[in-house]
Amino acid sequence: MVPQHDDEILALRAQQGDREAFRMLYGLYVDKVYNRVRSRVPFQYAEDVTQDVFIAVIRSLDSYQHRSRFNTWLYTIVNRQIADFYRRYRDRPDVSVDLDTDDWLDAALVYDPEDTEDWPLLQVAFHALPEHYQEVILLRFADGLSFEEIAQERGQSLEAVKSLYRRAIQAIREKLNGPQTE
Amino acid sequence: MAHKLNDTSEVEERLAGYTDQIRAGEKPVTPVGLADLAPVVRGLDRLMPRPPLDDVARARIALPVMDEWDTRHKTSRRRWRPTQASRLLVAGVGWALLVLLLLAANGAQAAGVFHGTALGGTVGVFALVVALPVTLAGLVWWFRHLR
Repeated sequence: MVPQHDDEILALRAQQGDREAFRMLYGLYVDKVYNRVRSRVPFQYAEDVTQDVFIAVIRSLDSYQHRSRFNTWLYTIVNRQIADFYRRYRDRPDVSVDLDTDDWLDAALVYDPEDTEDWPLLQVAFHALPEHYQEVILLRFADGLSFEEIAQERGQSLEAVKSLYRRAIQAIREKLNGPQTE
Repeated sequence: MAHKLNDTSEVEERLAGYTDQIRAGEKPVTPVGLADLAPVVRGLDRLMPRPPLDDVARARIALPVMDEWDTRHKTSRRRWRPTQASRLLVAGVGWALLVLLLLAANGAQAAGVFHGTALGGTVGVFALVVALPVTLAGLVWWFRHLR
């Protein structure tokens, strides 16, 4: 596939050893990667994991073959690094969110949206969503894309994206408070 | 009495609009029909704050990343990487060897070198069953997996 987007052209140049191209790629994505990481790991580890993501990008840049969009490839690495984080820190008591048990979801029944202490419950509910629900939320919140841009990114109609988004939000609410009774 | 929305697309429109307002930093009144969903949007807004990084944090993250880049590229500069020309050279040499092997086997058989032995047939079978597929597989791998 011939690179068409700016980030893919930068990735190609970085693959050829262009340091400045990689630095620009970093500048283009660091906020988005950080926000994605920040939404899924405790705050104090977000910078470290973001760093790990970009180091992993450098190490595996040669394997990016331009068959998919660069951001798709990058977000696969983000997911892998987050999974690695939880594998590494599984037994550490200071990491408060254990995503491998359903206990948090039970506790989420008492979720109070006005209580800022409860935000990890929302984080766990979000993490438990199917991949496509997580993705549309991340695109809107972490990447800061408008619904129109998300539709373009995913190759869907605007209505389809809004519908997917509504179902994703509804799924979180149901995980936090139980199924909707209305 | 709260108005109940029956039209799903109306809910979706209002939810999208409410999200846009929340992400823009506004404090909108929760729209009719979104009493259950609006708190989730507000929660997600807190979960993924914006702006996420200041320049100092961005630089703090960048430092070891660019160090890794420099370290990796200092060592990789000395490492040979296959180029298009080297790939063609290897492929050409591979094919030439295969053709030579087949010609030699054929010539030797025609000259009667293997007359009365099973060796000629063995060389031919080896070339067709082992050397040819292995060479083809090697070339395919070489072109697909090396940059």
